[in-house]
Amino acid sequence: MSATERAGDPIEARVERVFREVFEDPALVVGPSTTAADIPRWDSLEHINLIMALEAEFAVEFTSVEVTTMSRVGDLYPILRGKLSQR
Amino acid sequence: MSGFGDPRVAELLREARTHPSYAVQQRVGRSLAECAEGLRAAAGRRVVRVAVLSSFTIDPLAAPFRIALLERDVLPDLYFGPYGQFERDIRAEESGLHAFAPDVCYLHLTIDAVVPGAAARDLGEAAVARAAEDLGELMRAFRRRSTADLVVANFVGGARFPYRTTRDPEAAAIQRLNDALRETAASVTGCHVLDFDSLASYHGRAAVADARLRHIARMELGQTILPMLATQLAAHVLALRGLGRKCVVVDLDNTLWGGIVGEDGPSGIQLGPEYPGSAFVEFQNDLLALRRRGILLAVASKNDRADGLEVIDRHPAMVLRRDAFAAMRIDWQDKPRNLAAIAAELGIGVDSLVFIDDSPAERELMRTMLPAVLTPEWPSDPVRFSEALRALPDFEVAALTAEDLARPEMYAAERRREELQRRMGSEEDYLARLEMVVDVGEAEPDELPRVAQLMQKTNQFNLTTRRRTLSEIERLHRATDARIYVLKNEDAFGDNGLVGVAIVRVVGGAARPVWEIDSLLMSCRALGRTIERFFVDHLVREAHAAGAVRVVGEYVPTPKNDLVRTFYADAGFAGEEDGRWVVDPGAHQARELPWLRVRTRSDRRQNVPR
Repeated sequence: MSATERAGDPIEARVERVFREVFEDPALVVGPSTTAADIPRWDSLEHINLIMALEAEFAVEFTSVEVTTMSRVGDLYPILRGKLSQR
Repeated sequence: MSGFGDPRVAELLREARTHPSYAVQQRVGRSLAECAEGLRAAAGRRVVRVAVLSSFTIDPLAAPFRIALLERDVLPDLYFGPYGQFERDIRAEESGLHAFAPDVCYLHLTIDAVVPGAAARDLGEAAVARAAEDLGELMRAFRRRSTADLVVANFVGGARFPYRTTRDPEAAAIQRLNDALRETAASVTGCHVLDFDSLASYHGRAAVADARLRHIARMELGQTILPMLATQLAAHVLALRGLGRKCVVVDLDNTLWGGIVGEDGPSGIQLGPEYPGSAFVEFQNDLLALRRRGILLAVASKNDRADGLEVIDRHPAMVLRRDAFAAMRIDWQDKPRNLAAIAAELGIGVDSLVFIDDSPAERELMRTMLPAVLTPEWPSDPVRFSEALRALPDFEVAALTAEDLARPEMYAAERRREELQRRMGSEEDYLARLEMVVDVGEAEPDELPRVAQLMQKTNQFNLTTRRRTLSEIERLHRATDARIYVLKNEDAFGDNGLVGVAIVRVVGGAARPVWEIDSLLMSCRALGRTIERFFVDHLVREAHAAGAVRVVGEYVPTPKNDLVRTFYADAGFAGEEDGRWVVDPGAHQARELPWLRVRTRSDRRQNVPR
């Protein structure tokens, strides 16, 4: 799938794809209420890997506050939508 | 370069090479850790146990470090100290660190862990002196509990404000701390400094820390510097374990010069002060710099020999002339075969070679046919060649010895000896004409680094292949129930330096001591001239003089030391079971070796002339 095709997908699908790559689980399903409690490998170090992978996928940069206060996947969608619409 | 021939590992390494992003490296690193157990059998002795301690979160270093070592067919076993516990790990008798029993321990501290108030930059003279003392005390505490090599990172200096125009006293203080650290490390055996300050300068201090990661995750090292630190640490580990490489084999066309001499003619190639020739000149100068450090150079090129030599011998801008190369294969044979021949000619293992060739096809063929050769990825643009060569961590040694620096000349001398041997009628005439001198006796303290180097690297003439670290060797040197003997050799063609090591343990009571030969090894450059027989006879003589009733030798077979299977038998020892060989020192017959002139240490002290 090319970068252009990926960019056309809805945000939720792209976020889920990043989670699948970072946690190496092609069957992983993430939704708005998914938290670290649902994914055993999601510790503080993996959180950093996740942030960097999301930033690479969406070509955005999260603020420190966003990184540290984010706890549910659902928190991500409005933040990403906001940054993407500002471009 | 194949991850021990395991296809899954090779695939993971290829992924990391083609997508060198932080996220991919971390993922590949984790998968490689999972594969590790499966590689143990194939790895054999190419395993290294590395512990990493720090005052901050350094776990992400594991991934690029694992990749760097597996790319060189070295399997790492890693221990990362728990967060904030480096002091406890070092000082407690039964800590995780000491239970892990590393070969090498890496300690990376930030300045605030060492100098209280460093965050406020209160780095006066007294604070620096105190910090250096504390570090020294910590290193000695480590040494009391472990014989592992210790590698300590120094501190990143430079001014706090990048555009400051006046001298920064705090920067000067860090410089003084780094100087003090270097002195302190030199005073503790087997303690080395990893020059992180220099690495940070080379890559730009901004590459070191990401403010966001520092504050949020307490990660002092950012994604840019981590793989570089991993490579630097790999350089130290490879050097300390004798896993570095001794010889670079280069192609000619489009590698040492631009163009193809067979098509463009010797005056049509690009080599000289103008672009792109200037890039090739710089690359040749870097290869020459390696040669000055004792790395051998060789050529493997598909060309008519006359064409290649025409450029090497006569092109005015050529930096590397014929005598710079320890071996040359300029013909139409396939390169894997030629590299194997070069290794055999130089008397080194194929796993000591690095292969540099502009052709991706030749590189891929080499990786497939001779995976033990290190064939790095090579840039297509010649202006990047020098950087790529300098980025290889494989040419480092633990301590640059006189033998290292003289190695290229030693190979030239060896060629002259072989010529003499061909010309001489009998073996004994040849040996007499060599005018060999052997200098033998107990090791002096300044010879111990070379002893450590030989113990790590020597595979063929090695009776028991015990790899002792410098720290273990120092302990044995000081012990009253052990002796370390060294043998040096020179002849009419050159000085081979220190080539033989024997470690003897004295067991049994004072009334009936028994000498056990724990280690006996010789560098291959001194073999086949009866020196090895002289060495073992000397040990037996020493045992007799010390009143020993028996000398016991041991042979531990490995895939590489079949050469010495019958060594003790040939020397007149009697075989027992379990690879043990014994002799009564009072009854032993030494071999007559009239062509050897012997200098013992006591002779030297009395200044007996040569």
